[in-house]
Amino acid sequence: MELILQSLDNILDLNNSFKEVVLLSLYVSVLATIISSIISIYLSSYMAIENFSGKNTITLIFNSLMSLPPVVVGLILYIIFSSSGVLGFTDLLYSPQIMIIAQFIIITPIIISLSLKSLNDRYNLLDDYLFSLNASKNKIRRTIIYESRYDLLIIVITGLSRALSEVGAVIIVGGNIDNLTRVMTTSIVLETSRGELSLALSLGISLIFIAVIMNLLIIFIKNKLL
Amino acid sequence: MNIFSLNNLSYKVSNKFIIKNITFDIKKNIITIIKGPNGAGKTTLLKILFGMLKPTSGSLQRLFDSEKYELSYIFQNSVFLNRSVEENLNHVLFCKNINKNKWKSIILSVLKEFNLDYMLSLNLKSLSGGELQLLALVRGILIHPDILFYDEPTNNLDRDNVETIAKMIYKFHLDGSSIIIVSHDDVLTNILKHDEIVMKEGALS
Repeated sequence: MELILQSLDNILDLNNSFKEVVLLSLYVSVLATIISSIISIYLSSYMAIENFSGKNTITLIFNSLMSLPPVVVGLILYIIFSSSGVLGFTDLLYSPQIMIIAQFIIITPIIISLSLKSLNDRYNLLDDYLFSLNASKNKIRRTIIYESRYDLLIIVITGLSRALSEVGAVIIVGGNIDNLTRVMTTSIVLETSRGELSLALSLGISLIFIAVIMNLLIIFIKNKLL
Repeated sequence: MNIFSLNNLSYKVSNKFIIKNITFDIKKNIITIIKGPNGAGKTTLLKILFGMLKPTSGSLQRLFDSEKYELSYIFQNSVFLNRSVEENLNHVLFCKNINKNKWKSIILSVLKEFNLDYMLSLNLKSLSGGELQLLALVRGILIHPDILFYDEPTNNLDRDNVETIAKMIYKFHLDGSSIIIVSHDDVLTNILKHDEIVMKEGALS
């Protein structure tokens, strides 16, 4: 009980390093989600209305990549971006940018696969109607994206939740450096190993608080949808 | 003057003939009603005429300038977008590349012509089945198509609504459009003066 009270006290204190960790977490995950969502939704809308050879294979690959282990993503990026790696010259290792790249890679297959399913369903429903209007491909894409807007918003929030709760990849490529690449999840790992349980718990509570807000948002959107 | 000329046209799916060797012409500026029992191939024929399906064999001649002619198809079970009534009508004009400044006036003029302008302020979910059918018709004629393809306009409608739809179709036809309707509704066919094509088991009867 004392531990919980102490961690709540930490949250209410909002000291600078605590605030920094929370803000960096949000910065990295929100940016990764925005970039991933724009690319994924555009790509999914293209895949939903076009028929091309290999479409089923690509869909299968993205579906499989949904369960991509984050530590493997972190490891591969580490090898590529380490000083002896092919992209070592970019000097991105242990920076927030590489953490954004890692989270982008982890959540993109999720957003693509879920968006594709939603956009496909919508296109199948509206296919004949849009054909009867002789609508251009661009207008068909815009129509099905707009018609799936609530589904897509829920998918984007799901991607953001996944990014925020990710730890395996960002700890490998970010290095958990204080004041530079330390985010909520990596900080929890560190503080737990150091025995600073109240600090770890306060970060955990903050993370859960953000997750609850996300879920409330999803419920609100679902209600609007129904 | 004809707009369509069909010669020995057939359409089959998995070796089963849906339409079998039919030959006829469809005249311009006339209401043509394709009649027949369920499964006669009426909707398939309408889709072939519109260009949604391609005939398996035989010939279909479109005797009009496809570039200049505006075609519109109203489905038996019309699908609406998850938007307001006005936005559903806007969407047609958006897809047809009509200048956005003209949308409101085009929509209002068509709705007012049929005394349906009250619909504009309504939520799509609050419309009755009959009103949705009327909205589907308004959406179909919004761009003043030269040829209107209309599949089962009066499905599940009461007599009053059938008469309303029939009057709207006739009024629209007077503006100079050709209309091809699939229907087995005797009330509708009795009201409208029309040419008739009767089908049975994929062939003309």
